[in-house]
Amino acid sequence: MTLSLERKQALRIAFIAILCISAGEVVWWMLDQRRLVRWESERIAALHDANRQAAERLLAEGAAPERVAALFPALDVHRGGATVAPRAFAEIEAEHARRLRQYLWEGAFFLVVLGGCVAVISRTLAAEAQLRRRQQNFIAAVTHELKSPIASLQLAAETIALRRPEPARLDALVKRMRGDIRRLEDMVGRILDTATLEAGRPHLRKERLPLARLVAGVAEEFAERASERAVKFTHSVAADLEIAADPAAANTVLRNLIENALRASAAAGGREIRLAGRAKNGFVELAVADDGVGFEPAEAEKLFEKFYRPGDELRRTSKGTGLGLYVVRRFVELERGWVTAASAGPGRGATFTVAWPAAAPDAADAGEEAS
Amino acid sequence: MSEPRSILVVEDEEHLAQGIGENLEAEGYRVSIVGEGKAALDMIRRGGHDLILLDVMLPGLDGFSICETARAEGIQTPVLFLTAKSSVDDRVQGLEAGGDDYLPKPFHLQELLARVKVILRRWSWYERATQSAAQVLRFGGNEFDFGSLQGRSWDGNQQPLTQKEAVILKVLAERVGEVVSREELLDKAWGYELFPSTRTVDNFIVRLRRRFERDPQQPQHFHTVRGVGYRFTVQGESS
Repeated sequence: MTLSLERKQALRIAFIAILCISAGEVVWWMLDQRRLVRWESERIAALHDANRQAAERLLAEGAAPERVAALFPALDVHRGGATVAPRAFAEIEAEHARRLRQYLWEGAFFLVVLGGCVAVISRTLAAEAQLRRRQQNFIAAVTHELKSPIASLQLAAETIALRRPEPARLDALVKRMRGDIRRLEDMVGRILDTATLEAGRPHLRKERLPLARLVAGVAEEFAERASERAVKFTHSVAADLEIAADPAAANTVLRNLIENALRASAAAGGREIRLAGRAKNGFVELAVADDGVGFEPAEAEKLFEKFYRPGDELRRTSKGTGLGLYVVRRFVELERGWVTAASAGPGRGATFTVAWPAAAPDAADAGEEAS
Repeated sequence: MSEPRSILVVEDEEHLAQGIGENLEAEGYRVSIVGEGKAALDMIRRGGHDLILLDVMLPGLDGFSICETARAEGIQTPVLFLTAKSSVDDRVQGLEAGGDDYLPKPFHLQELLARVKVILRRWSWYERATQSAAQVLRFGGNEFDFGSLQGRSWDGNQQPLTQKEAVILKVLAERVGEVVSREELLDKAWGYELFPSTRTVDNFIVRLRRRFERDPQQPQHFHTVRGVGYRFTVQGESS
């Protein structure tokens, strides 16, 4: 039987309520036991006192102290009267202290267990709510990202049909249309990449790839868009740096990182994107640094989560869908690499560092299938 | 020759903004383009526009908030929402925010141009209608000035109306005692079938009742004629 999301959520909330009521019951039980122990102490003290009075009456009536002492073992009996023996109180107090400790430990244990359950369920509820909000944001973002270029394409096509523009104007419109088509292609590509990654382990080939060539190729692809936004690419990647990765996946990773850097620059008037490569501990690292919008350092990890987009989608500060960096991380990790994000804060640029395993010096493993 | 009408295009998608701007200019309008929410609100506050084409998803400040803020500040420039958000709820939200029309993306160029023309013509009709006829409507202790869009209700409270509310009141007030159909109100206030149902008109009548009726549940002036539309009376009478 499958339950709808709302019913699951309702069940969880009901369960939390039951746990809270149970915790309340445990506290009440602890307090009640304490009250009971005190009440018992008072009753025993009263009983001892009644015995003392009875013993004193017997002594007054002339009974022998030894006989009275034998009748009331909890009393110290002497000729002048009787008192409750301190040992009688000590025994009661020791017994009560032991029981109170027992109730305290048992109660505390139950409270910790119940509290733990409440915390786990609350976290699940919060995580679900967050995921739902992200999915809604994602739908809003995808709607915007798909419909905007389509609207622009339709507008350009209808402008051509209605106005019959002269060649120069027509060229400008066609250029605009190409840009929109490229944007749609990127968007569809990212959605398909995500679907491939979600469907299971994609088939990745492991090849020896010169990083400098890969970087130069992708940078050239983005050159026009960068120059439209007056953003300059600089790259310093040594010619001998080679990675062991799937060519298509590595290309996607690099494209998404550069696309991300370009967007971040465009949103904040950034001017430069620097790509720098180096070899370190068996990996080849590539740092993609921009001087764009940046982000709160605490957000660094979240950026790679699926659908994550900072802020309210209605007031989107940058374009995107929250898939690009997720795809980057998934592909890189499947190839046993890693990716990190760093920023000094909003408006202070960002650096994304991606690392792939370095290609083995021996060329024999080129073309080997990744396990 | 009269001064060209001025249109402010608030759109953060560069290609779309350029395309819309060029086409509006080709139709003889004067066009300004802005792509950021807060800057757009500043430009709207400075005034001088006959129509605003407003995107909803914008950096800085969203289109709904821009429209609401402008309306709250008494700015009555007509607003045409132009956005990828196209559900019925989005459309109603746009209307509630004080928008005059709503065109989902992607749209047909000819339709956009037609709607722009209709909104500008409707605004002109309203201006002419309120200039030629009595400017101030008085009923049941309420009064409303169609020129300034300012009103005062029976309890002495100020009741500024949006342009759309004022148009509906104007249409009803021009035909005192007669039944005006929902479709006719839609047609006059929006120009054509824009929403899938006529409940939008009902929402506006509810708003007018809340502003001017002593007991909105027992209206004395804005009467519902079941299944047809609404009837307005200057003298209070039970529905």
